[in-house]
Formats: sequence, C-alpha cells, structure tokens
Amino acid sequence: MSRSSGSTRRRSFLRGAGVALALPLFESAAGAAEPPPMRMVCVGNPLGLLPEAFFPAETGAEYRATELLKPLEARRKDFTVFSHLDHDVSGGHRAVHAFLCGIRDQDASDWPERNISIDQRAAEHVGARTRYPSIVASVGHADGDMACRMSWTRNGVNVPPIDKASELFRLLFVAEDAATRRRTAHGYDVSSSILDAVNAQAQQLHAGLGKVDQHKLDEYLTSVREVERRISMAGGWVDRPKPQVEMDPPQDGPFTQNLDDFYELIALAIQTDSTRVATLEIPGVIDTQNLGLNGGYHGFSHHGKAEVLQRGLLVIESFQTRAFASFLDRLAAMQDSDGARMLDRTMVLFGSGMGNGSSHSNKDLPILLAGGDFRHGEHKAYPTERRTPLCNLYTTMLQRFGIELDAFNKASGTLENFA
Amino acid sequence: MRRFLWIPLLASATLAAEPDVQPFLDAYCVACHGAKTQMADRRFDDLSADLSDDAAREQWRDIVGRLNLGSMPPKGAPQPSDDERQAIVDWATPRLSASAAEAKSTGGKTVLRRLNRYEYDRTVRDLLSLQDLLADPTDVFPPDAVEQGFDNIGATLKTSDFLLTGYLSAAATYLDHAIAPAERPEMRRYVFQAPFCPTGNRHDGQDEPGRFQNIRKNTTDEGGFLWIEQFAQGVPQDGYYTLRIRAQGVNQHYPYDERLVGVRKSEPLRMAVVAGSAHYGELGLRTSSDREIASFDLTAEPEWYEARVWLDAGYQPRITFPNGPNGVKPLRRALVTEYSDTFLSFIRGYVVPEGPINKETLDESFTRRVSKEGASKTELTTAGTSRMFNRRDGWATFFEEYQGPRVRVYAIELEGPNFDQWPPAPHVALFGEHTPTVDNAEAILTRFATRAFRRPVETAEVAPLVALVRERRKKGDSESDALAVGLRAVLASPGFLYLNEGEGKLDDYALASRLSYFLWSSMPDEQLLEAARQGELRDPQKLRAQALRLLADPRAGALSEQFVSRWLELYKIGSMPPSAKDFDAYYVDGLESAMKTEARRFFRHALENNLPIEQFLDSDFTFVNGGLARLYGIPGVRGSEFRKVSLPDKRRGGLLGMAAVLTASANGIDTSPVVRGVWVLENILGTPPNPPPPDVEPIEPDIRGATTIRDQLVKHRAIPTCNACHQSIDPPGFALENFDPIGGWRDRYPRPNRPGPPIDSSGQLLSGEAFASITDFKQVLLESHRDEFARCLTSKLLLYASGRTLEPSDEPEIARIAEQPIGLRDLILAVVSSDSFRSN
Repeated sequence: MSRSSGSTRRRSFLRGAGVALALPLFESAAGAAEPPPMRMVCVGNPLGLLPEAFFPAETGAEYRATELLKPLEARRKDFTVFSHLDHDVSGGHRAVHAFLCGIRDQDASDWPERNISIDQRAAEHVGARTRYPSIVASVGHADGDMACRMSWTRNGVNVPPIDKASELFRLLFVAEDAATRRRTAHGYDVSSSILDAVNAQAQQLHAGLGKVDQHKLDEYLTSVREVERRISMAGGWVDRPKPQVEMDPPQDGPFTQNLDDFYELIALAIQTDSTRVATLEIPGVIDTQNLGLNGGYHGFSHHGKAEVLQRGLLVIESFQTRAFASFLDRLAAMQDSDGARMLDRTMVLFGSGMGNGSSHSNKDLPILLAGGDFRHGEHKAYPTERRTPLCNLYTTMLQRFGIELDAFNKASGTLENFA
Repeated sequence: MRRFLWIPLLASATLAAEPDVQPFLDAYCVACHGAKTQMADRRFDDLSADLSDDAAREQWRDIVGRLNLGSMPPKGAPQPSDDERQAIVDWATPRLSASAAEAKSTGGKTVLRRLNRYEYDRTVRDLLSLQDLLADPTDVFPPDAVEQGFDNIGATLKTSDFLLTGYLSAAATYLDHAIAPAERPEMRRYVFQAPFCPTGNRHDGQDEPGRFQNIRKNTTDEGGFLWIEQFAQGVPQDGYYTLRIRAQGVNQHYPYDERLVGVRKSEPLRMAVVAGSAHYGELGLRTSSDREIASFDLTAEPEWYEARVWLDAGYQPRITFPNGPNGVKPLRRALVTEYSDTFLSFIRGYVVPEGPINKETLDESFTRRVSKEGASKTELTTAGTSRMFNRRDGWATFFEEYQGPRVRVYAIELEGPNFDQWPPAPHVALFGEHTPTVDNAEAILTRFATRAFRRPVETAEVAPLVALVRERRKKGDSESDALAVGLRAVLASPGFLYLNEGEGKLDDYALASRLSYFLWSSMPDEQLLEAARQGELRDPQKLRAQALRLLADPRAGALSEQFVSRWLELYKIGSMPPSAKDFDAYYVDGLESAMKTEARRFFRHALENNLPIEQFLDSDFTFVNGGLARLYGIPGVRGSEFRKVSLPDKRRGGLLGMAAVLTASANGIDTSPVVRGVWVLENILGTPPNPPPPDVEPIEPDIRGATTIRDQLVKHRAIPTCNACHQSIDPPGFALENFDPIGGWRDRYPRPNRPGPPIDSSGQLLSGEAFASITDFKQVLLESHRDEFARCLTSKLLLYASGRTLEPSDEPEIARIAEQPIGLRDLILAVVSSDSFRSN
C-alpha cells in the first residue's frame, strides 16, 4: 500500500519509525543514585462532570470554586483546573476510552505507538524498578460503554483493570508463605517452558502462511515475547518481601463503600514504592441508592437539562470529588523517603473522556491536575478559537515524570503557560 | 495491490459526479493553506483528490468536517454558496467511507481467525467433555474486538499478552477439572437443617431455628442468598449430585399494594439454586462464580423439590428468591408509611420515639435516620449512628410484623458425586486408552492435539510438546504434572487457537471447522471430521446433509444465541441498565433475560420450521412468559415458562415489536429516533449510514419543555449537510417512537412529574413510502423493502459464517440467494453452499 506523504502531520512523520519496536526499551536502574522518583495517578469516570458545576466562570487564581470544586477548596494551591482541552474526537460513549491516550481504539492502527495511554507510557519507563510497573484498577466491574477502559498498551491492547479492592490488597500487601512463593516461581517456570514450546509451533506455522495471516500470527508471537518479559520482571520480585501496612483487608462491596478503599490502597502502594503509576477507573454503574438517590448514574447523566436530574447527577459527582479531595489530603500528609511532601512527588490527574454526558460530547473535557510540583492554584482556560490538544498536558506530565519526549500521541508539544 | 472501491448499498451514498474540487480549494482555501502560507500546518494547493492516499484522506476528512460545521472559511473570508459547499461534501463523504472500508478490506479473505472467548470456552468444554463445569476459566480474558457488531472477525480479533496469560491459566483450570483423581470418590450424603446461615443485621423475626429460615428478597449487591454456613468449603469433588430442598412459598397473595413490594401476586413465588464458591467471595453476596443450576415455582404448602445438578469441587448450592422484592430498605419505608397501623412495634421502637404517627412524622424521621446512618457508612468522619434502626433488632421487629412474600426453606439435602463411568468422560477425552505416563507422552499428545487442532497433526508439530513434557519431568515435575503441562500447551498453541483456512478453496478440514463454528460455535464432532477425512464435504449434497445434521443437534443453540445476539445487538442489553424508578417491570419481571429468550426462541422456531424470513419483519405470533406478556399487554399468561402466543395486536409481531430489539436500540434512559433509525438501517435494511462528521456536536436533549426530539431533528435536518444522512436515518426511527426504552408501549413522552407531549410515529422513507404508525411501517417494509431485508440477513449470516467482512465480490451471490422467497433454514443452507462460504 502506498504510504505517500508530504503532509506535515505528525502521524505521517512518525509512522514506521517506532512500530517495529514491539518491545519497549527496558530502562535499567543501573548507574548513579537516581533522583527521587515522580509518580503518576490518573482517575477518570465515563460520564463526565456537569460542565456548569465543574468549570469556574473566572480564570486565573481568583476564580470562585464551583460546586464540584468546593470539596477541594483547602487544596486550592495544589491543583490546576483546565478548560478547553480535549482530543478532538467524537463518538460519545464510544470515544470515552480515549481519555488517557487521545486516540480511539478504532483509529489506533494509524498511529506509531497505537493508542498507548499516558499511564502505560510512564509504566514502561519504570519497568521492573517497582513490583508493579503500573496498577490499573476499577472501583467495581462495568461492561461495555459503562466501563472507562482508560489504560492501553503500545500494542493497542486495553489493560484489564483489577476490580476488587480485596484483590488489589492481596497483590500489594498480603505476604505469601514460602510454599506459595515456590509455587509462584514454579508457575512462572512452567509458563516459560510452555511459551518455548508454543513459540516453536508458531514459528513452524508462520513459515507456511500467507502474508496477511503471518501478520496476524505476529500478534501471537509478540504476545509470547511480552509474557516472557513480564514473567522475567515479576520473577525478580517473588522472593522480595511485600511491604507491611496498617490497613485492614478491605471488604468488597458497592462503589460508595469501596471508593475510599481503592484510594487508600493506591496511596499506600505509592508510599511503599510498590508502584509509581496508578490508574483508577470509576464505572458508570454504581450504587446510587446508597447516596439517597432513586435512579442510575447513567440515567442522571442524561438529564436533558431537567433540574431534578441534574441535582441527582451532582450528588454522584460531588461524592467523587469529595473522595478525590480526601485522596489529595492523604498524599499531602504523606512523606516521601527524603521527607518531601508525597503530593509534590505525585501528579494526580482527575477527569473524563466525556465532556458533556447529556449531549454525549467528547469536547472540552473536564480536567484537573494536582501535585507533581507544578505551579498550581489557577483555572487555566485555553483559547476557544483553536484546539489545544490535551496530549500537550500529557507531554508536560511525561516530561515531569522523567521521560524524554517532544510530543505524546496527538500533542503538538508541551502545554503552554503551565509548568 | 487491491484498488477497488467498496460502496455500501446506500441510496444516498452513491458517488456524486466529480465536481471541480481544485477550483473550490483555490477559491476559498489556498490563500491561507497554500504554497505561501500554511496556516495550521495545512496546505491544499497540491492536495490529491485520490482518497486512497492516507495523507490526502486525513486532510479531506478535516475539510469535510469544517465545511459541515461551517467553521471554514473563517468569517470575513469569501464564502462558498450552500450549493458549492454541498457539492464538495457530497463528493468527498462517500469517497471517505469507501476508502476507510477499503483500508480495512482483506480482499475477501478470512484472516487467520482466533477463536473468540465464546468459541474457546465451548470448544474446550466439548473437547474435554466438561459441558456442565460451573467455573468459567475465561472470565479473565479481555473482551473480544467487535467489527460491524460481530466478535468473530479474524482480521479484527486481537491476541495480546493479557489474553495469552489468560490462555495459560484457563488451560490449567480446565485440565484440573478434567484429570480424574486416582481413586474413585465415595458417594456421600449431606443433610442441613435451618438455620442455614447467619442473616447479618437483617434479621427475620419470623425465622424458626430448627424448623425453617426465610428468604425475603431477590439477590442484590447486599445479599439475598440463603447459603449453608457449615458447608462453606463446598462439595469435595466435581460431579453430579442429587439436590433436594424442602421449601414453601409464603404469602404470594400478601396484603400490600403490589407496586410497593414489586412482586406480582399473579405469579408463583420462585426459588432458584445458585451455585457459588467461597473462593470467589462471600457466599452471602454475589460473586463472579454465581451460576444458576436449578429453579422451581413454589406452592403455598411445604414440598420437596429435587434436581440433578453438577457442582464443581468447592461450590455449594445457595438458595435465592429471584422474583422477590428488590431492596428491603425502600420497601420498609414504604410499607411502614402506608400501613403504619400494622407496624406499631417497629414505629414505636425505632422510628418515632414519641409524638404522633402520621406520614409526615414518619417521613421526616426516616429521612433523618437513613441519612444519619447512610452518612456514617460512607463518611467515616461523621460520628455516631442512630439506635439500631438499621441493626438486627430494628429489622427483626419490622419483619415480625411484615406479611410480605417469602421463600421458606426447611431442609437441604445433597448426595453425590454420581458417576456414569469411571474414569469419567473428561479423563477419557484426555488420555483415551493410554496410561498417563511420560513414556506415553507422544501417543497421548498426538491423539489430543489431533482432536484439539481439528485435523491430522504432523510429527513436527507434536515434537515440541513431547520435548516440553520430558523437560518438565527432568526438572523434577511428577509424571502426571509433566504430562499435564504438555496438554496445557496444546490448549495455548496456535494450532488450537486459530482457524487456519489457507487460500482458495477450503480443504475438507477447514470446511468442517467453518461449518461447525458457524452452526455450533464449537469444534466439529467425530462424524463431521470423519466426513472430512473421507473427502465428502467437497460434495455439495453431503455438505448440505452435514449442515442439516448439525442444525438438528442441540449444539445449534449456539446459532440462536450467538448469531442473534450479534445481529440484533442484544449483547448490549444489560450494559446500560434502565432505571428501577422509571422501569420497575424490567426488574420485577426479570425482563432482561426474558426479552433475550424471546428473540432466541423466535429465531429457533423460524429455523426449525423453516419459516419464510419475512416473519422477522412481521409475524402474528411470538414467545412470551408471564413478565413479557405483561409488558406486551397479552392477557392470560403466567409463570416463568415461555410459550408461543398469537398476536392479535399488529403493533407487536416481528423483530420490531420485540422488547429485546427495542431495548438494545435504546440506552436504558430514553430513546432516540437517530439511534433506532441507524439500527434499522444497519440490521434490517443493510444500508448503514455514514458515521456523523467528527466535528458536529451531538444534539443536546432538552426535556424541560414541550419540544420533542422530533422537533429538534426537524431543525437539524434544515441544515443541508445534516439532512443528507438524517433523511434516511430519522424516519425508521420515528416509526419506533411509541416504544419506550424497554419496549413498553407509550402514547406520550415522559416528562418529570407531568404528562409529556404526544408521540407522532409517522414518517416518510427516503424511497417515498409514507407511514402513519409502526403497523404501517412494517407493511411498508414487507411490501417495498423485502429484498433489502433478505440481502441484509443473508449478508449478516455470511459474515458471521465466514468470519470476515464482506466485499463487492460477494454481492452477486448474496443477491442471488436473497431474491427468491426462502425459509430461514434454507437460507442458512444456501449460505453454506455458497462459493463465499466454501472458499477463502
């Protein structure tokens, strides 16, 4: 197929340059003392935030807190609210999953790094330096369009979230006895043996296939290598003890009961350096009855401008921003190993791939970034005449994370007027 | 390289004559996006009009978006006329979608097709004779990618590291269940008496320890299961067990308003048995391991109910009340308020400490207490809870006075496992006559791989597996463990996971698999493979005979389930559940599963009786149970059993009167003629419209006033560029407007707290036919669009059967099959006989 270009668009530039790099570079921890690490937490929901209740009317530092921002008032100096950032995609529910990458799944093949999301890009950078290169979690299970599907690898694969607090707790903090660890190590060893055998078979099969089929089977071969790589990364951690924390194992329950548990687990995961990258998905189906509401989350988001429904939606969204505020408080009270405020060492993004749930617009996304040692405290509104890619903010964040890159996915550069 | 254009069969999408593209760009665009200046990095003076060029296509997509939106040329710059603008949009739009389709085209070839999750699970179960296994080892698989609604398209299905990890773990789980223990397990008998389990803080004041325990509600996130505490470890062995339960349905005709309780007095109270394993979570709550294994309609007197059930090791039978009330907190509040004189102990003790008892005081103190206790649960900072309102004593007192429906359970008995043969079938499926030793590895693996790969295997394919087993043995694994690793590798190997169909005419084995995955979503059986071995499938008559045989087998249920689900998009049902407030029938009557059953039963009936496919457009019968009959207003049908009923009401009948279709084409909240219109174009008429231009903001619904969605769409269609597609989309959508988001009939739109504007379901199709109602609309479809429907259904079947998207080269064959009257079974046979099906 001809790939004639001449276009100045970035995607054409990059096409071909990075695709062959199926395996991310493994950045080793060798060498001199590293600077204190930066962390990244991304939180999102699939239905957006009521724009009038989220975006302040004023820009700059003197903005009046909107209803959804009120719970965050005490942390005003620790975060920035952004207006008029988005990914220039459409599709309503079907485009929400582009939140952290800017590219819809169905368009991913046009891009050199597919639709890799910011968290997975950061996780590649961390590699095996932490027990888990990243944690992707969902506060309960959701299907189809009610799932956020925020996290994507460079192979265009959606990272399935851990959707039980008890399971996340187990992975992070439950010590395994010697027998279990032996079983785990043995399991890795067996898996490696199996992968060798099926890889040999796949190579035989590959030789006899036509081009298109070969290309398809390459996915399998890539997967074999990826799993081998994961096993080798995880293998090094089997016998290193998990950190002990003062938290009772959480009980799995409905969203309203578990949201704080997930935040606490992420905070502890960061403090114990079990991971440096965490993504938290809020599902579109939650137990609204425990918020005193009669009706579903998705239903309220279809408010059609009716006041009674908007009020219900606000109850749900305020619950989210309140929990988020507590999370920021928690990070602000935590210290990194060198005594620095953990919030200054953690970028915390909150937002959605949906701009307006009632009209199903994916434009003008609600975006809030806290921590990470940025100069915060403002409502920054970007020009409405031309689009500023949300990926510019992501580029800024990835640079702050320690990654050298000029433009992430759809970015045209870093985000101007923010550092 | 392929260079043809694939144009969807859409009237409005026929290629417009080539207008003068470059002069338009030169006149209105190039001043800012030309050789000298390239604002926003865009340059159009040398822009190719060949949209198969990737770069040009991107630019054109952008241009069309801006023109549609009217945002370019900018204000102050010379503006094209509406006609000029439209001409460019009309020229570019179909070319854009054609080139997008072409980019995805595989030239009529099914790309190496991975089994999807559904097929994988069914195949392994058939391969290992583990059909009744409760565990779903595929629950860790990432969802399969979907193309045109179908999740079995080879080119689209991805393999990822997450999936491969899933294959490795799933294979281990299946094999654990399939490999029999060395000794035949003893049969045992377990007897359990009430109370079976602790009730948490929702204590039932009418339980009688030693005699019976009550279930008062359906399962929710907060419980509803009656489980057996002393049997938390579950049965020790996989196998079939005889389950006996003594139970009774109490108060079917309870003394409260039906709407408050949410249980139909006309329906028998039901008891279901839901197996679950403590390994997956608390047995009192829903877990991902839940599987319904039996259900019974109860009588008012205590009776024994018996069933033969399969239980995996570690699972126990839990008892539920599926048509019980859905949540007891709102129920308590409603009953105590409405029937305050019958709940005096509860009111005096827990709601209003003193003072008058009336609706106002009750409401107020309920609110106060609920919010106080609710807050204490969700906000740890709030101190203090009220006195036992939501604790054991409060609930026990309430339930002592409560006369609502209950399932009362007296005793549970379990006996097993029973084996028809030893070693059991799964073990034989794995090893045949061979003793499971490393010495026999080659023979065992060759035999198993031959079955798993659905074709003869070569020595070279088995060699790495045998080497694997020997390696594991050398590394210290036991003989049986080492062998199991080899078997596991078979289930994770490409020979098993992919259907490799080669190119050109399918060989016998590829054809056998294509046929069995089409009709069964699973592997060919021995008879079909034997026919392949004998080279019989090349004979059209014999292929047809095999297809008929497969269709008559119960495994063909997969077609009614999977094809119907993908074609009609029923897989969407449940992901956007309707609100319990507005559509309580959906929950009270269990409509979610009932409506899917209706669509499947209808399809299966049409298949078995070879009914003319026009029956999908309109029919005078359908299948309902008590709940669906209520939704449709059909009198005289009760109970959970489905039956065929005739439909004197012409508004129902055919797919478009089915709740499943009407729910799948809504979003649980409201309906949109656009979404439903697109549904009809895609799934009935086979003329999918272009996707909306990327820059057009969706219509924001406004339900405050008298404006209806129809009014808003009229405005939308006043914009010529929008009208181009919406003139085809909106009319079929209007025809369905009388159906609410779960398929109930309505004459007016809902508005908060008052009757909304009346619904107008009339319209006129782009092809000219006008209709006044859904009944008319179906007539129009039958009289004027029968052929489009026939082509659409044929195309969907062929796409599903072949695992690839269709190409222009498939069109003549589809048209030939679809042009004459045909029954559903004959249509399926015609698809099987087609060249498109038999070659790749």
